[in-house]
Amino acid sequence: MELKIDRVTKKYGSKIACDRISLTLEKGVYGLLGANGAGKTTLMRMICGILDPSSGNLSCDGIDVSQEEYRELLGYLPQDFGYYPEFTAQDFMMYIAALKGIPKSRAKVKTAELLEMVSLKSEAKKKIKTFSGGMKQRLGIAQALLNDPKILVLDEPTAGLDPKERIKFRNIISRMGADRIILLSTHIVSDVEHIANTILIMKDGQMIHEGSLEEIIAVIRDKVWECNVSCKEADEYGAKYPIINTRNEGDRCLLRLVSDEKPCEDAKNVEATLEDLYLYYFSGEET
Amino acid sequence: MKLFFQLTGYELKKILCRKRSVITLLVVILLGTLSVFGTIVGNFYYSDENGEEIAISRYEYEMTERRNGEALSGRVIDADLIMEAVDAYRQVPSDNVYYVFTPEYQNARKYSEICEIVCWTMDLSIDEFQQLTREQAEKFDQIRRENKEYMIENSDINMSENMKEYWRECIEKSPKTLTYEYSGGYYRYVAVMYTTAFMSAAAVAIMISGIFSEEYVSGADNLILSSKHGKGLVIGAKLLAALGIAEALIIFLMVVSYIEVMAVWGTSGADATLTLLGNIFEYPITIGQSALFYSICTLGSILLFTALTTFFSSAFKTPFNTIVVMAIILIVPMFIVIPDSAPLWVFRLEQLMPTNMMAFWRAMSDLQYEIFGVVIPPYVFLPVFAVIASCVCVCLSYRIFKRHQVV
Repeated sequence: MELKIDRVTKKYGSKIACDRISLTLEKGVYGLLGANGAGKTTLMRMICGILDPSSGNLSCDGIDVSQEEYRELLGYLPQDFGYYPEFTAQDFMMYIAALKGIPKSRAKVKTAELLEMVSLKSEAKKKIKTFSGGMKQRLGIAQALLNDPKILVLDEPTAGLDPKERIKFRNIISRMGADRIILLSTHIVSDVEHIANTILIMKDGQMIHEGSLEEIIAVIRDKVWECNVSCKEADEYGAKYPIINTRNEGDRCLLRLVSDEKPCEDAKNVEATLEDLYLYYFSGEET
Repeated sequence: MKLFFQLTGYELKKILCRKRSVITLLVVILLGTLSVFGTIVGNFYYSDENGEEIAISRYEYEMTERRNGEALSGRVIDADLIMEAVDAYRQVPSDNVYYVFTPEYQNARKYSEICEIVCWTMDLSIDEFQQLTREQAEKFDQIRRENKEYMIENSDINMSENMKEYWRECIEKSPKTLTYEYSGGYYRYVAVMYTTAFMSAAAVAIMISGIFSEEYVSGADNLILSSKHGKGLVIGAKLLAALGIAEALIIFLMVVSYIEVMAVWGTSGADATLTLLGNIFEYPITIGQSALFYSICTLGSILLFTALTTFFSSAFKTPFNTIVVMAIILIVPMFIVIPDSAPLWVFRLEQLMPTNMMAFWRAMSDLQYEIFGVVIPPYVFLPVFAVIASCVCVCLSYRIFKRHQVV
């Protein structure tokens, strides 16, 4: 199975949300990183066939994303998904199952199974309007999995989940990636770091990096430094280098920064992480 | 197919789960089922010669009218009957301001509908009616025919030659004499249905306005449009649910109103001529048939109104906008006054507004439609137009939602 994104561009007037993006996604988990407004959600919507590109093509094994055949393969969790407050979790799942063309008898079994998986079994008969944000998010994940999708697009799937739930879903997603294409976008870099086989980084509508964790991190390998400076000097360093982290230690500050050269005498070169790379690229932007 | 109806069920559930829908539906059902009784609840109050207030129940009044009407049913309105009525009215003391309590008036009341028909046809005041001679009464049918012929040539609208020809044929075909039938039940039915249809249309606007736009507002459009049937079956299910609930509501209220009016005012008059309901022009149909055609026009108007609501719901981003536009479409036509000098097509177009289709007099008006020289009466044209226009609106709604872009 191959999801092909071929020179896809999306323009809103003069603003380019996605700029000539070309990708080929095969089985595995793809982590999409980028600041707000980078074009992640726009790209995901185009992949889900709910937003037409201004130019370019998106298809899976030759099936265009606008086709019903393609949507049959798709599971989608949007960033802000709409629910029906008066529906119970069970009703909602059965409704989505009907939308996906799943026969009623199978939908019932699948609903029970997925609600159990997302720890909502005991809440199945409760109205969604009584759910907390995290519960709604779990319901959203469950509905995306109803048709056992071959292409799973998850926009911020772990937003609003507590750390325990987050790790649980991270593991589920990781397991599912073995036999399907999973594209997930998140601001939680560690989620991507742990489960994504391939990391995609978007900035200003363009795909600036694509590769495995090692390949991606190679961009800043040997460029991440930790230096212990006075708090007064910290501001000067901040103006000069992208600061990844600042930790106050009494009257001194421990800075983690990215620099091509050693920024100060006692600077210590440390191992780069994905978060370093993310902050390196997006430290100046709203995330 | 099973899946389609399953989806339709969910769409109905979505509509009926909304608080505003439930409240609207309950209010309209309550008002719609009770409005029939509006004219028979309470009393009329008269002061007698001693200054004392006498209450006469509206129900009793209506029942007396019904008994009087039914007693005359089947009689031809000829000189004999007219003079019977004239004689009865002549007995009413003209110098007694409290004449309503006199036995003479109670006797004359039996002929009140005959008096009304004759006065209206011959353009008489009640005093002139009391002075009517047998010679004049014998001209009743002739005057009736002359009135129709005069109206053909001097109608408020500029009738085309085809329309005039159609009416001339209708005059030739219509019976030369007028037979009276009490038709109080049908009279009330067509009167009450206008209000009921108007209320139903308002309810439809409130209940259906969110059928598409609420998906945009809530963000459920993401899930729907990315699902297998989101760009096909579910849109059909939404449209069926919207049209189904609207038509079910109006049919329910129609049936209830019909049963109620017939229970109170009786079923007689179904075979009588349309003239008895106040129409100058006599279409070759009976009162019963006209009520049926009118009911079909009302169903058509609600169908069109619902289809328009679905169209605006798919086109607008919020249900509120749809409600505002539909309120304008519902209310504004009632206040449009078209000058007599306007061309015929303007009147015809105005008659096609859903609100106007709900009125009995519009369905039975002399304003006909012509297609390739064939004259089509409004009670046939209006529902046909409503179905065609609804199909167009529904197709547009389908297309707009299918092509909706989630941004």
